[in-house]
Amino acid sequence: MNSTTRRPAGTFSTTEPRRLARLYLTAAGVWFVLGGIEALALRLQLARPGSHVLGADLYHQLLTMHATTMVFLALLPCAMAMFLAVVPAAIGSDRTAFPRLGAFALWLHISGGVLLNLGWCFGGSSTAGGFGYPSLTAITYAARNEFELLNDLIRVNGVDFWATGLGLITLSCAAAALDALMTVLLRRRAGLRLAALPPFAWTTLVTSALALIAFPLMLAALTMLQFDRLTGTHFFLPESGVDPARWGRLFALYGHPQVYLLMLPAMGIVSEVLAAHAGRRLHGGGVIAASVLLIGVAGAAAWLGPLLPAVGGGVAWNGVLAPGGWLAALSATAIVFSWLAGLWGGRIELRAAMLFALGFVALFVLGGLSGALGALMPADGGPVGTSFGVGHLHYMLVGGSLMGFFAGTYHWFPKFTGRALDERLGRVHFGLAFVGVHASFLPMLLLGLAGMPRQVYTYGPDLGLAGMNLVATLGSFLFALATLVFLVNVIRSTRGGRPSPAVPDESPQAPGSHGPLLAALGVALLASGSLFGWFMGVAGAMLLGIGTWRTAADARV
Amino acid sequence: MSSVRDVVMIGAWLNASAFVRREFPQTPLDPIVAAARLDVRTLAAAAPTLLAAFVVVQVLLLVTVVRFRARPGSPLPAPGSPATALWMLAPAILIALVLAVAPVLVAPGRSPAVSPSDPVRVTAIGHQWWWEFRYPQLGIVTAGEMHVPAGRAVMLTVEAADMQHALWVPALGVRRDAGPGRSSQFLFSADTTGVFPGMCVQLCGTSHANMRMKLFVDAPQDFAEWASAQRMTAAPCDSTDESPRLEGRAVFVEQPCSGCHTIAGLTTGVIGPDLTHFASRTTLGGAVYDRTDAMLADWLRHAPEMKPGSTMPALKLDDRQVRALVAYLQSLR
Repeated sequence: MNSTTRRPAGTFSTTEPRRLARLYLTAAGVWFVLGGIEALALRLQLARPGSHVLGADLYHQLLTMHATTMVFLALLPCAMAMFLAVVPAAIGSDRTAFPRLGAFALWLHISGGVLLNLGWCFGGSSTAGGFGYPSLTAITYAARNEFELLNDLIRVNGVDFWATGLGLITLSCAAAALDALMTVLLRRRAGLRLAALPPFAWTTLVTSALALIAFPLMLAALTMLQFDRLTGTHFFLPESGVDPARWGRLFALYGHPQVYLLMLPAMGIVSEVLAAHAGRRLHGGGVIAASVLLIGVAGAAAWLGPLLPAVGGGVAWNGVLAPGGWLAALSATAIVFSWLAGLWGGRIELRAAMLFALGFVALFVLGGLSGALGALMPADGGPVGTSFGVGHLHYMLVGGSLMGFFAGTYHWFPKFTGRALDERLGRVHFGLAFVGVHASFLPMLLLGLAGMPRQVYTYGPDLGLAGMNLVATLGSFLFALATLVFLVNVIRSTRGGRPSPAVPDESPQAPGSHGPLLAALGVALLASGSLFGWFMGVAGAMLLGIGTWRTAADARV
Repeated sequence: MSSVRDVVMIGAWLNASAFVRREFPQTPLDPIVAAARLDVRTLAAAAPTLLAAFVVVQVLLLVTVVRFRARPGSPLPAPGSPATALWMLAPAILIALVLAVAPVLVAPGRSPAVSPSDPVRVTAIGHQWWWEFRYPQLGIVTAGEMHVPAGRAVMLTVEAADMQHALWVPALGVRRDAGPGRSSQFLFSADTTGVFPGMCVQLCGTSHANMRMKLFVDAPQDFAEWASAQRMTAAPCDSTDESPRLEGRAVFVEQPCSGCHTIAGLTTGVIGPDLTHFASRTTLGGAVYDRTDAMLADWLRHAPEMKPGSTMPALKLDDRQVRALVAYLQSLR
């Protein structure tokens, strides 16, 4: 068989970056809607004190799944989608460094997301929080919620689905990060020096390097957790005398780089969108690139900060332990002011993408300053660890990352679909979303100062917290409405939107392979063997073998 | 709308912390402990700087966008000059310096340490989902509500019996994690009397949100009275009067209550809170509900509904038994 007689790649066998990007973005959209519904449910419960909209147990499940879904299934794949659609072409390549690995990563990501959410079908999801507190993932506690299949042959629990699904997702992200890093390093056209990379390609470089030191740690931690739960080891089990902070430290080694992982791609996108709509090349590009690099370094080094056990100390601790945070804050300040310098004297087109980019700047600054305020608070008192922290992280992730990804979606939609998104709907989306972010998360900052803790399913009526909670709930529904406008825009524009003039045709359909899909399913089944039984694991191993063989066979042709 | 009023309240806290405490009893912004007050003042000093930084950037952004927005016929932009970058970077550096230096400038150092000589010792033990308080020197065991004397040194030790918990009392500016085998200590001296709420702030299961407590800071005289009353055993039941009480005591002993709860001189259960002086507290159920007859009756009948996941079962008692039990428990001052 030679390549001229092979059929071009279909959806399930493609390794072409733009098509993989579309799949990532679609999946991210679906998970975002799911995570959003989970958030709305949480907010409904918190709207009034002593409310009974949701039971306590369901609330904790939704809490856990909302956090994990939004970070891993909605935001991260958005970044991957943007990378795949934009960066290879921007650096002069028609493919990534490891296209088959990239396809494998995509299918593994989707499988992991399905497995993660399968807990809903089997007696409930994890209630241990997005952080996976060791007390609550430990066997003796979680055993109460076990679900039995096949006459006790199989006993699974929400935590198992959470840990295994998340493990697959982190493996997928690590693989995708490797692909991204190698693409930027190895696939540049002749003459394109690293220092001359466009902004989003540069942030991809730093992000993927950071990802490669963060995700394997998370995968290791999750593997150890599952070994504890399924085979009786003692990595984290509190009842065996292990310091529960051990899980926290390992998680933090991943968790702090994680937050920068989500910000850096958005900053790269915003840099490009601002420059494109201000009518001139990005100003101070060297400063921005250097600052991005410093933020990456800070992300790797700042794991000391937020998660030390609270043993007292006050403001002095933060001064000593937050240099990484300060480094990141300084770098971010330099970046914001470079952007402003670039806009000054430009000719600013206020299209939807630009509105979101400007919104990013405004909300990112607020998020960063609330973070600075939080850093000044002693770890053993004050509003840290209350609703204030929740407000801060949502400003950064929704007001920051998500706004940046929306900007990228509006700006680069033609690269995904060949058509442009409707501008008017885009402006409506922005207006509603911008107000919705403030309406949802400013009350959370204030609630933290008023003494509302986090991760509570209800609160007392005599604490004065009801008013702001209600505002936050209304704000979340406003943001949901904004998202609805966006989805309508996407659906309409994909079919009948204005064709965008200057988008090059996709490269002639390269012959693909079903190998990566089969291999990814194989890994997923192999991992779920720990949940559903050895037969699943064997099937998975066989599928992995077949998938690997197919990939190699198709490559040889 | 009350939320607007709330926002205004928070906004005015710099000069009006008393307001804040009245509106938001659980706020950490109005502590009664000197060290925590200092930390809050540091925040108060830094906050305007941060707010100013925020306003500066937003205004710059707005001005830039408005002034340079594209209009029909507006000129094409000239390439940016290096001078512009410097001009924009200078405020960035300035702001960063201020952020870094302000807290050091403002905080006049830690307050003089609380003298640890002869402190009142109290141990807070976290259980799923209630707080136990023991005073080892004074021989007191209670739950849900902690009393300390104002103006005297208190050594608080935080422990947990079954899993990770964390005690947060905003008025003291203390948050301490605790787990099995790990305890931590906090020395403080409260300078204002009053009642201050606190709760667990480490997600610990279904009713984590219902794991609350109240701190009572008493005048030294009142604290001494409270302590001596707590040390006495339960008032004896005369068989001649108060037959509901006597009946209630019998119910308590016969029903599962005695298996979990201790009443000094009567029963020795260790799973639930000590009830010897149950009626000396203002709350029940982990400091969640007021200790009224109606609430107590509800609690006895429907504890798992009122506190999801609770180990205490819904007792199968008829009305007469419930009334008797309520009468008995409400007499345990």
